[in-house]
Amino acid sequence: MRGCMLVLALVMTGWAWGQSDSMDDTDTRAVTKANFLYHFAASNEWPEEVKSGDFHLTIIGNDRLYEELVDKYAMKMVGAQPLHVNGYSDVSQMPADEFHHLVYCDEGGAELRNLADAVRDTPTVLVSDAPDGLQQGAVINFVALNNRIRYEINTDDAAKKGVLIGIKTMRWAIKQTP
Amino acid sequence: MKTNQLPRFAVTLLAGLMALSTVVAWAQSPLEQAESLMQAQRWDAAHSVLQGQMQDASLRSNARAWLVLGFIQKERFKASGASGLEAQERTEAVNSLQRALDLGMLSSRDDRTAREALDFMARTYFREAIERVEGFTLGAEAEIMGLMGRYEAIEQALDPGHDAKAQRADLHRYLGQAHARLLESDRYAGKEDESMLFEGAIAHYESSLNFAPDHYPTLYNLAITLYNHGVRQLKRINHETSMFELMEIQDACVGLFETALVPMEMAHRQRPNRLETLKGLMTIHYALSQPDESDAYKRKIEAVLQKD
Repeated sequence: MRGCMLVLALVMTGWAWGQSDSMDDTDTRAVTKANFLYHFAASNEWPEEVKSGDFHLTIIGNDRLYEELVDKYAMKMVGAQPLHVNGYSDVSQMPADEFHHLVYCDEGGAELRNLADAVRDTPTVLVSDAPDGLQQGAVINFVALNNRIRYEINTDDAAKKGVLIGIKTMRWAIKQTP
Repeated sequence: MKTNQLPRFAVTLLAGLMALSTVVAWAQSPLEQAESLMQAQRWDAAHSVLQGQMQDASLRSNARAWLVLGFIQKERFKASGASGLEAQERTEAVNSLQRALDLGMLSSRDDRTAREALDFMARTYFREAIERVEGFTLGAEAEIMGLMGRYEAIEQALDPGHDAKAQRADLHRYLGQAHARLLESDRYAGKEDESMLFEGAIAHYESSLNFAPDHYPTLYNLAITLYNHGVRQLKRINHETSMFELMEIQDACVGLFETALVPMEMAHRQRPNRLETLKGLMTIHYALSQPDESDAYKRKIEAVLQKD
């Protein structure tokens, strides 16, 4: 009875005590990945021929990650280059004739493989989030370790592209191939 | 000459009656005087008459005198609009009424009156505690707990079998929510008070669970507060965050997400088809980079939605 009185009193005050608190719907993985991508962009040493104009960071297949990057990182400087963030829903929409410094592809499998083939001979660093991302041709692949987001790097592929992976990026990688 | 005799007589009579009433009043005991004044709702005058006399041996052990004094003090408290633990009129009223009951010499009618008056006083503490939870501000909880404590103590005195567990559980849960709501506002973002609010919210939810261990809303809200606090840290990441800081933030967040998982799973076990809990588990597993588990809950959500 007294318990009922407490609830009644709260209802009468108009406060929504019965309601549950609401869960923050921020895409937590997108927030973390966005910062990693920014570090990948900022700490790598890129070939001279792509160190002018905008720095192009492109996101394929992940709207929340694209929005996070646009919100917090667009127009920030990568060396002397302002960061330009591009977003596409799938690989086919990405203009083939434009250079992209850093490309994140949310899809794995054949789509990732095709994209890796398309940028093979360019200094584009392809980042994936797939169990076999490096085998499919990505230079950096996000992996889960102890419930955390970490990444692995194919340093050979990066070197072939003329991109020197930054020391900070290397230090936190869980695996470097070879 | 005769025409002046009648008014002179009337004046003399009136003066005589006034003198007589004064004599009668003098003849009344302080208790009787106070009761007369009380009937006329002259609370301050009644209080003046009785309060100063209560140390007199005949009144000190007179249960009815304490009841009358307590009743007068109750009315003075109502008229004063005083609030808080230190409201003197309220404390005095409670003490007087309790003393009246403790002396154990009240008639059954007076005993009932004293109990009702005391219950009324208890509820003023309770109402005030609730009002302060509603308009909760940082630092108010000591007063709220104190007010609630007084309410419970009086109810316990009136009924030794009074069980306050359910109310305690509710109060702690509401205080948990009050802390959590302040946390959600930007007012304390990144400030020292933010961690105090977070710790306060968690402590109140845990206290609530001590009284009511399987209470679904408390379990759910505890999980949400833990999870949201992790997200709050993550959202502060920006272009100035170093890789080292990112790793530290991630460690802290994962710790909170892992902790949030436990009460969310307990809540889910109680209401397996509740969408908010299924969504909570899907989201926490996603944040913990556990896509398979997250997808499993996503499929359960779809199944529940299809059933509806």
